Amino acid sequence: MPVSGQRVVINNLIRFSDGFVKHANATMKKAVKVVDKQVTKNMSRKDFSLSELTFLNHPFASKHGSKGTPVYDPYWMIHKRSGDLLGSKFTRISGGVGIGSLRGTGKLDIVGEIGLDKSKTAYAQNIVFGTSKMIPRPILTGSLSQKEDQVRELFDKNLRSAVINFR
Amino acid sequence: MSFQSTVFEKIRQLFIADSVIRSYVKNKVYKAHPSTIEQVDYPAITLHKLESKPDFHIPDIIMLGVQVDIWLPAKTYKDTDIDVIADRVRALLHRENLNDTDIGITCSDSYEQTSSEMMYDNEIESYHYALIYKMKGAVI
Repeated sequence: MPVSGQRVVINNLIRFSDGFVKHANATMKKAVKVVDKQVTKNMSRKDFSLSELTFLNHPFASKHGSKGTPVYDPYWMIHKRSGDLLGSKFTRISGGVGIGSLRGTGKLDIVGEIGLDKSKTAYAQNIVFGTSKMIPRPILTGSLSQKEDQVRELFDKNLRSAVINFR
Repeated sequence: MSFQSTVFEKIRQLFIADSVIRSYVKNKVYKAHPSTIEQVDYPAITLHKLESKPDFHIPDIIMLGVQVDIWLPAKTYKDTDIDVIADRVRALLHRENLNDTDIGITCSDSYEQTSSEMMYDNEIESYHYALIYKMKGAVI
């Protein structure tokens, strides 16, 4: 018995997958924005003026040990000085371009990244991963962890809706 | 013992039991960051807790972030030696269960979250490479 209406089904599948990829991309952009905002906030602490830092006996100096004096919670937040480190921050979204992979393999990979460009600040890695004398300050993974629940909720809510709203 | 301390002990045991890792660092796998240890004998691997929090869905399960640092003096080793050790660390930790009834932990979903680029530590004249792992489990 011939199958009828398959062209309609195929066209709907194509329209669905196009729409789904766009929606997934848009959701990833929102997620990156949420985490990026948190990273910026954690890297831009200016709670203390220079005179206050002097009064506190320079809490971030190595003489206080590898973590410094714990003036921030979590300790790994970064006090903004020149702004060079913050200026090296970048965001990037890759994958999810077109729907070739979705149609071909049924898989969709979209990657959202937030990082520090070491070509702009060579010492960025030393701050994030630490040195033999300085404890790591996981500003990126720590910020992601702070927003992980919110990002998970964003994906659960938005991508589930995409399936439910398919017509 | 806490989940973190039992996981660190498990990781330490895995590393020093590995012949490749042992050929480089012997049993020098420290369960603390070198900046907090009075005297570190390099080459060495150090473990550092980044974060610890309850799992989103199951609060009795702990999510743990661990940084594994590899330190190799540049006078004796090449940066390619770091890659050899890092490959073994990945084989032992990435997507592995670290369950151990002797130590008393159930630990699953260990995966590599990120890693650094090759770094050079001027203070100790050593190559330095960091790998960050996330894992979850509980003390049993």
